[in-house]
Amino acid sequence: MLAAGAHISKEKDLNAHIEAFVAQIKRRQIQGSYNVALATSQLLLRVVSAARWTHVDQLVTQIKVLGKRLQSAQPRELACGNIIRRVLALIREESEDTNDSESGDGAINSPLITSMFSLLSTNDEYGPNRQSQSLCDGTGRSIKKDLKPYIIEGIQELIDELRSIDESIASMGVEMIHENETILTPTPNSRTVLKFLLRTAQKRKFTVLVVEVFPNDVEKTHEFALKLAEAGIETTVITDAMVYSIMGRVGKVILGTHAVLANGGLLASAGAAMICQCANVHRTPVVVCTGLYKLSPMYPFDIESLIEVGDTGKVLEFEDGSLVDKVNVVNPLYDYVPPESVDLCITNMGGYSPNFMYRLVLDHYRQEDTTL
Amino acid sequence: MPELSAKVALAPLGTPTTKGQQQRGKDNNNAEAQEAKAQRKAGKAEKAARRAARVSEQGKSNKPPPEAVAPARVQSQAKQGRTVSGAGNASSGGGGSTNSVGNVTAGNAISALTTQGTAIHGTDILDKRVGLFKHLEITRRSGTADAAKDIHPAILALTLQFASYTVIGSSARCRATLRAFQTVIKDYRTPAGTTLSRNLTNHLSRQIDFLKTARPLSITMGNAIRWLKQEISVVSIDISDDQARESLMEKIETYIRDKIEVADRVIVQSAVKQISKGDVILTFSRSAVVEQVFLEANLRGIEFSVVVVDTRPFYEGKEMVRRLSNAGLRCEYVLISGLSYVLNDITSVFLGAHAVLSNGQLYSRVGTALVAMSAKRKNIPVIVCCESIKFSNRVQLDSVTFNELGSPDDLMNISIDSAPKPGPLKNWRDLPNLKLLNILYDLTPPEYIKKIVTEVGSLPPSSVPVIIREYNSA
Repeated sequence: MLAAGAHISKEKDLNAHIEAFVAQIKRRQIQGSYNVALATSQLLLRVVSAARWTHVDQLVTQIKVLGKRLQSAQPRELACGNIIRRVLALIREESEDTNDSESGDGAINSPLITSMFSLLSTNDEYGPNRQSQSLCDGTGRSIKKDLKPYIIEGIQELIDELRSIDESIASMGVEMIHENETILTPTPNSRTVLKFLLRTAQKRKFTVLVVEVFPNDVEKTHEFALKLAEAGIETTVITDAMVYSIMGRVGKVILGTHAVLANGGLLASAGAAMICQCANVHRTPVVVCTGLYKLSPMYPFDIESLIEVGDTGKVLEFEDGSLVDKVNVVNPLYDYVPPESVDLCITNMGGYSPNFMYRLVLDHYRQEDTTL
Repeated sequence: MPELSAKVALAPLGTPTTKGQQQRGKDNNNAEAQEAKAQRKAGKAEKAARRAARVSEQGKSNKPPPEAVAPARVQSQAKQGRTVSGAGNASSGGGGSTNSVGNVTAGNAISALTTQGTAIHGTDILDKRVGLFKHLEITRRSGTADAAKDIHPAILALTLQFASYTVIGSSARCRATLRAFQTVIKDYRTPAGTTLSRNLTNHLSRQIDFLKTARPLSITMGNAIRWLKQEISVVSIDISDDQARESLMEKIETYIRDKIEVADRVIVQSAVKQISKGDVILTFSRSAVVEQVFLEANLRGIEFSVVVVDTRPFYEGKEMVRRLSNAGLRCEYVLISGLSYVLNDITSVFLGAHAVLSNGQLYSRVGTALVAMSAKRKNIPVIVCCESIKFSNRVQLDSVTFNELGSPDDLMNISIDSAPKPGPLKNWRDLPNLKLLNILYDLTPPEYIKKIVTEVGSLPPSSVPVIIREYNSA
């Protein structure tokens, strides 16, 4: 009786926490894909440790429902869904591992099935099979007991990975930037790029051209330039319009991104598409620095729906009423950069060609989780 | 005398005299002859050129009062005039030379910031220049206290207007300069012991040198000045100074009308045919000719909409979008960072020019190249509207070798309206490694441009030297 009451209050607590989190991402109080990813994984940690399930499928459904809710709270923040999918994949993997080790004959049978058959069969066919198989097992209780600490440990590892992402990306800087090079960055609100440049500056001397992606986050942009200059990097701030005139003198374009899609395309801050195109025209390599948590299994079938539009008051002041009334003002926050504009993606798992991103998607997510 | 200078910018364009008409007629004949040659060479431009000639003849016979040509522009001049008269008064109070810039720049907050910045950090700028652009000078001046005695007040006022970007755009600057020269010539008295044709050129050169301290001369101004000096050098020594001055002033009047006003009208007539119902046309920043094209198309009842792409720090497009929307046009306004977002629905791109170089490169407001590049990538035709006075003999391959530097402090200001708002970079001069780059122009390669509409016809960028040669040989 007492225990049940405690459990109910605990559940209430958790629900309130989820509620608060949903409200926060709805109101954009948590901004930036890194912060969202970190907060999501921490939330999942709480959810999993509080969750009770008799079978792992119940946990999966629970998290899927939560994921759906989070994603509809901010459909354009893909990092949130990515983390959910990572955790789902983790749970599935753990449950398969225990299944394999527990049912001895299954362990003998499965290699036979997987060797050639899995190459030809799609995951969709493979998934339900496995689910029904695990349902038939019926030894849910023992599985659950074993699973929970493993899943929690996995999420913990994910959080650690998130925290160290910038470091592992930054360590590749010396391979990218040579002495006396001129670097242009069109996404000066990216902390990954900032750390990448700062870390590389310890070993190399180079010049950075900071493109202020006016009007959004211009304060952050300028602070970015300040930080670089304070660290002793030659820094020049230029406006968006000047990119073409100076691109011929640029060695590499290094950008951060909001999300990486499965085809290797990017959702980066507004202006990035134009600047990457400009770099392509000048045969300047375009390098993207991104953590794997930004990698989304989505394909850009409907680009317009992915691009968020921001405050038009930043483009045309509202005081100018007569003008604002008549004119349609647009302020897109993101740009879709096609994969052919990008030469290299540097992730915390190493550098990959954008064409290879789909493979990383397959490595980290399960196909059955693509739609939550 | 100083008041005179102030009023000149305001003065309506005079009605043509018989002499002016003859001159103009001659010019037109020349133009036709040139066109005939140009047609042979630039086969593509043939039809358009003929149309242009027809329209320009119409313009000649109908002789509409110039005021009717561009009421909007006269208004803008009136607006500018107000600021000038402020300077003029100040200079009359100060006994010939202006000491205070306050009146002129007060209206333009950004430039107030600029001039202040340069005034304080005059020497600093040398150290804070961006390596690649060290060969370019920042010549922005903040006052006229150091002006020599023989600099005409009209030139002083104009210099300040240039420095504060109150008069901006190569046609507008060219016109304002020629008007100022008219005043200079009007007030000019040949000193004893020399002739007008010898001395006036020197006198003008000193005025021009002073004008250059505000901003480098625009290509149009360079072309106009070359023409004017040529005209002065051929003034007969037999006629009296009064006659000579009178004739020169008339010639300038005619030049402005032929090379800018009539040219604009011809371009508008030709370019407006490129607009059809349902078009969504993108333009960048503000060009006076392109604006007239849109207004004319609107007057003709063509239903289309315009997307104006704008950029920091001048926000010239805001003025463009204001005028267009006041005329009832459907407009969309976006900063250049949002370009790829709006590009999907665009049917054609209209651009203005500062100059078109002999190798077909378009030298225009910085950002034009990005717009043209993005449009080309999407197979959207890019049409440049440009008077032939903007054609230059120069060749250039990139935007670095020759450009104009604006004040870096314009970048520090992150406000989008007239009230300056220094951002986090307000102390940027204290950081030795931090630089702000503000160049004003960039170079658009000819392969991005589908055609250039001029008053002598429409032509591909590769035919620019043809027109230049025809003009020079004429």
